[in-house]
Amino acid sequence: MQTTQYQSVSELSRQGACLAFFTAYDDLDTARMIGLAAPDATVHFLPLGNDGKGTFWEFGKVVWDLLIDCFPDISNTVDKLTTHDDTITANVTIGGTQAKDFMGIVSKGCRFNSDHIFVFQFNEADQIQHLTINWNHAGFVKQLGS
Amino acid sequence: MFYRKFPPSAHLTPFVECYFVWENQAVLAMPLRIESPPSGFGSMVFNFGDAYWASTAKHESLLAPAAFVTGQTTQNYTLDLVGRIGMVGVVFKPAGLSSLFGLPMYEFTDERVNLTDALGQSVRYLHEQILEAFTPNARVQVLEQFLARQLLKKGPVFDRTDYAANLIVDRKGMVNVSELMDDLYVCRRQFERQFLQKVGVSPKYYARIRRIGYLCAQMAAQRWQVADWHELIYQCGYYDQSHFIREFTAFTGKRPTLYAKDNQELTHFLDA
Repeated sequence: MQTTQYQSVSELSRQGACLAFFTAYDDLDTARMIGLAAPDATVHFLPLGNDGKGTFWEFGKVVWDLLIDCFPDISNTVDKLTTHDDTITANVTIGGTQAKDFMGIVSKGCRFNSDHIFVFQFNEADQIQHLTINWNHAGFVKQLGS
Repeated sequence: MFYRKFPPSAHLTPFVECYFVWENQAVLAMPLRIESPPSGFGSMVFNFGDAYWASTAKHESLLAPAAFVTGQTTQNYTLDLVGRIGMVGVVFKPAGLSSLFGLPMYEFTDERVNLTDALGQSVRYLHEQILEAFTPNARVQVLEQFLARQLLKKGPVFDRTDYAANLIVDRKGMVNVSELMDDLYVCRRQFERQFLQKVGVSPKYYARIRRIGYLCAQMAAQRWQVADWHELIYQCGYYDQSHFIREFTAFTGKRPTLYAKDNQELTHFLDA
């Protein structure tokens, strides 16, 4: 389910913005997820190398939409948040059951559950300016039966 | 050296684990470094001795504020003490600080936040009262009265997050959180969000912290001379030795044997 409403971050703390991002992710609402970032924000899905780099609003949305499409019950648990200057690191557990092929991984209906590290960088307007996401990709692929 | 714990009154037991007073009348002959693992409890601490420094995974060396609030600690930390030691504090149950003061605890994880920044200028008088009280009992009494007033002001605040978090404490972190959520008939998403808000970390992560805290307390009770590691690992519910070592190193930054050895040396120093 998606809404077209973008959430304002002006009154949210940066940690609150991170939590809003994960709540929107849990709600499968990519429009709300990207609405927390600056228009020129970037994202890097680290295990995908250079192919995993792109704009937050376009590339990020495509990847998250694809994830939601392929893992319709995808959900996350924020384990902890750590702030350092303009950066917030979120340790997050993400899980989901594969329903469609995903980035070359054939669907066998398996479930994954893996620790992810999201590093959010904020601008002065408290918007997400850059996000780096890291996870154990080999473990992720293995859990999906490939 | 005087270190004593005081139990709270019955009406504060759901929120407060204990009070503590730590004093040393004589000036320390040499600087003292105390190492502490994550305990699973937040605290409110008032210093009436000399200033001291705290080192955490995040801050290499931070002058501890004279009065501060801490949330969950997720890594080992050290205190570097010099001169005269004098501290009194409240050790809160995992959701206690949030229940009594309405604080979003995820903002306090691994932090020592100046008390007035967290609770406002009104608590300045509380610190003055503690400085004016001259016995450990009197200082604890001041804290007890302050919390009792706060509880009256907030009204009944014990909810299912307090219940679940306290259950994880009672079971020393050896809890299947999915089963716990089923038993409580709670929605996973809502429960996890409220837990993060009131405790500062997720329920599963908290159970891991609590288990390490309990394990280290057991090691300390054996004065860091662990005769049977296998028995200890089994008692704390780890699958096997490698699971235990991985968890221990993740939270303390050291392998268990090295951690025990370093603390044994400290015990000898304090005994001398």
